Amino acid sequence: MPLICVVDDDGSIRESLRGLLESIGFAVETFPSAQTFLDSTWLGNTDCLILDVRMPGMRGPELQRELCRRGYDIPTVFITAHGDEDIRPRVLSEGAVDCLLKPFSEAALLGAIRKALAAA
Amino acid sequence: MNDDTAEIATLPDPYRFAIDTIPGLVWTSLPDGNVDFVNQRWLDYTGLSFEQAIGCGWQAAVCPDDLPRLVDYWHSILESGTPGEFEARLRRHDGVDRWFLFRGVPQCDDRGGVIKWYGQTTDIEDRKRADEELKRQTAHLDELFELAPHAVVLVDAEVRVIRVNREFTRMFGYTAEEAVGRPLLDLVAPEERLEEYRNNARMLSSGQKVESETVRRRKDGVRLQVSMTASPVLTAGPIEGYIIYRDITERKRAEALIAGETRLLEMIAKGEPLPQTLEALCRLVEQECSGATCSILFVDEDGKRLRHGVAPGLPTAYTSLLDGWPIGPEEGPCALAAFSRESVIVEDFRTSSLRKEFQAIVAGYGLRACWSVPILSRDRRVLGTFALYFREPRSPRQQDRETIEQFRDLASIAIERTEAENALRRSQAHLAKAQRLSLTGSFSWRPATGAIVWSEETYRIYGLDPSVRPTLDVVRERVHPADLPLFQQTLEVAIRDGKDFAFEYRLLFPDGAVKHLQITAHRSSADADESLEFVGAVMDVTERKRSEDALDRMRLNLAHVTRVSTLGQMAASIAHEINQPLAAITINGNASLRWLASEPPNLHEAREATHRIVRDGQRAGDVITRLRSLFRRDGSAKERLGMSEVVREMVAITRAEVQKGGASIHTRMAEDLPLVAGDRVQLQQLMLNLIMNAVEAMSGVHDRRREIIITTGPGEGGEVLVAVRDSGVGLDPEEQDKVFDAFYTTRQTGMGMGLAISRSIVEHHGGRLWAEPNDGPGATFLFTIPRDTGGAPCP
Repeated sequence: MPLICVVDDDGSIRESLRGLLESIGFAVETFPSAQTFLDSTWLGNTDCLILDVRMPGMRGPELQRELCRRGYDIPTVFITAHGDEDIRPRVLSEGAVDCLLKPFSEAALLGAIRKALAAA
Repeated sequence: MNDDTAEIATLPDPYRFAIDTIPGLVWTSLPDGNVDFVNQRWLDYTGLSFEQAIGCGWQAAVCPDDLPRLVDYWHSILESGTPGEFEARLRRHDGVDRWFLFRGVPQCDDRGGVIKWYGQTTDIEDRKRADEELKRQTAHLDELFELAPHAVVLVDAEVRVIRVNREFTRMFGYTAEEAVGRPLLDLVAPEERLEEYRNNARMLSSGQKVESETVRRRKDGVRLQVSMTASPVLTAGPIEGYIIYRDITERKRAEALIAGETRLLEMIAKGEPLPQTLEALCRLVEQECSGATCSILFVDEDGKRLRHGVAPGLPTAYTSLLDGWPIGPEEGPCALAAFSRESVIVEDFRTSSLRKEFQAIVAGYGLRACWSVPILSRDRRVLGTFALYFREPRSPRQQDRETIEQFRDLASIAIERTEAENALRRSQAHLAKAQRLSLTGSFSWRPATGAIVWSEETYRIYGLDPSVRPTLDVVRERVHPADLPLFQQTLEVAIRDGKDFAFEYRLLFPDGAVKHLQITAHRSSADADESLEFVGAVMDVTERKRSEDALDRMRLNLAHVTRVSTLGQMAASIAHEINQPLAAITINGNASLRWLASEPPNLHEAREATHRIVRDGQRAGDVITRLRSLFRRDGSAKERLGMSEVVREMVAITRAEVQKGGASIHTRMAEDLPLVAGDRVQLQQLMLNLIMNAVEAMSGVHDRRREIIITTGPGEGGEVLVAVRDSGVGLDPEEQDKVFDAFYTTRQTGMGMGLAISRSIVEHHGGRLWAEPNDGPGATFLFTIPRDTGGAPCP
């Protein structure tokens, strides 16, 4: 069962994603910040990372770079509630699988996750 | 003893007895003068014996001082043989001398030869004394007459001069010889007063006393002011009279001078035009100082030139010439007097040391002498000069000098008074103008008497005619009914406490117009003894109120615009705030569907997901609600609200924007804060502005945490204090207040209105907004909002 980790500072998003992904059959771990994820033991086992772009402290793209620096190549799907136009090409160019704008459809999310798992 | 003596001596007793009882001293002598008989009374008086008295023995009884003349006289009548009498003193037996009349009558024979002398010596002591007394009194009266300080004339029934005294000759210029025997009319009656003179003379002749003040003429024609008393002397014969003249010319002159001076002072006091007063002054001096022509010149404001004042008696050409004449030491008497501040006396221009040019000028106008004195103000400024011109050489007497000084002082009073009045008038005009321009009237009010005095502008403000006497009732009629209790209460407190007061109220006019007035009153009577008086200003602030209302509306509009613009800048963040719950709702919805679709359906998980949907829907709704109020245009209603709640709401709305700026926000809210009466939207905007301001202040900070700390708590005066602390670039001390100015900004974007609007919002709520630098980096913006006192909602 693939492990999907969710990093988002918004509790509602974390809870709802856990609910949805578990209903589909994924194993899910959620983290309220980038640091808690880095500090966790799941880095090597994560099959797909769903990562919020803007968070207090370390932001999503920084975490992506940090993981890369540490040698982890985790397929990552960015999610963001900010209508920031340039964020999507930037994260994609740095290797992200996809970047979804909240609110996103289930199909878009599952499509992105599938793509990520395929890449993994 | 001869035969005759023997004859008498041998008279029968009855005759002898008769002779002795005659109340006189009786004697007889022989033709040769030897006394041959004296009666008993003679002997009793002198104390001599008959033997001692006869012959020449009687001479021992005569006062030695009178004896030689008596003896001479006795011999003379003895020789002439005619009767005679002589007065001499006879010494009484006790040594006292008394006057007697010695009378001797000869008895002749047929041939005419004296055969006997009969004599009587009569005591005339009393008569003699009376005569002497009369002589003495007459001498005194003569002396009195001569030395009387007034002119005295004794006239006969035809009013011809019988006698005049020394003062008459001095006063009227006639010698006694010239006067005596002439009709008094010829001497003293002036032609213009003959009628009056004759009338007086008639009254005197008919025995009436006449008293009057009139004019009489000297020998040289000069008129004298006199006080005259004509008294009839009532004798058996025709009526004579005494006429006494007292010279009252000086007194009359002094009286006229005082009257003139009084008239001038009245003119000054009444504020008659200065030229008229000074002209009257000149005329009076000319009247007083014969031959003089007066001139008053003013000194220019710069003190450099003389200006024509008044000179009713001088040729216009001359006065025009002097107008603008320079003041200096060599420019003529007036210029010199103004220059030296001292009197300048030119007794004769021809012999004076004045410039030839000036001499020629005055000569051209026939002027020979000039006395000029400077007119000084009380503070020793030279106001002008006062001069007397003469057409012949003349030097002033002491009396002239006194007159000049007296009138110079009067001129000074008149000029200074006019100066003061002009200054007052100017100042009043300025005040009236200033009151008119500033729509500010003034008033004074004495509560004890109810006396109120208004300025012109106050009348205008109250819309009343200046003929109306202002009273509190008149004012009350105008006060807006809604403000009447406030009006009444304010005045009652003012009277009770006697302290300065200030308040605002409205007037309601019959046509429905409303005026807003601002009253500021100051207690003017500092002394407790004085009755209470207030002076103050009435300011028509209607226009200002209108402007303020317009400004308020404008501010609301502007606030709305800036609010919307701020929200526009925050659109992405706001979208984030809505997208977050929206995303969660979508995901939860999908999850719920999946749990329901699974076999068997996992109802528990589906229910959990649905609960989350409801919760997040609520969350999104809250955001929308808050945003909606911020987009609302009007926000003029105040309500009771808690500041912490407002802070929380705005922290929620701005969280995404704060986060976007890489900052975090923390709050420390005090419990149990009092509620405030406030406009929720305005206070939300205030918080929004301050939070956004803090975010922007930290945008350039990279070396430390970007942190906003918002605290709420009680202020020093019980109000609510809110502080928004950032860790941004901080404030320059100079900037500290400027940041609140409209359009002041240090940033590339923004209108610079945020803090200006914030301050006006706080002030609109009766609070205060200010900025303080932090101990460390950054600044803190603080504001207070007064606690709600639970009163009626504010309009």
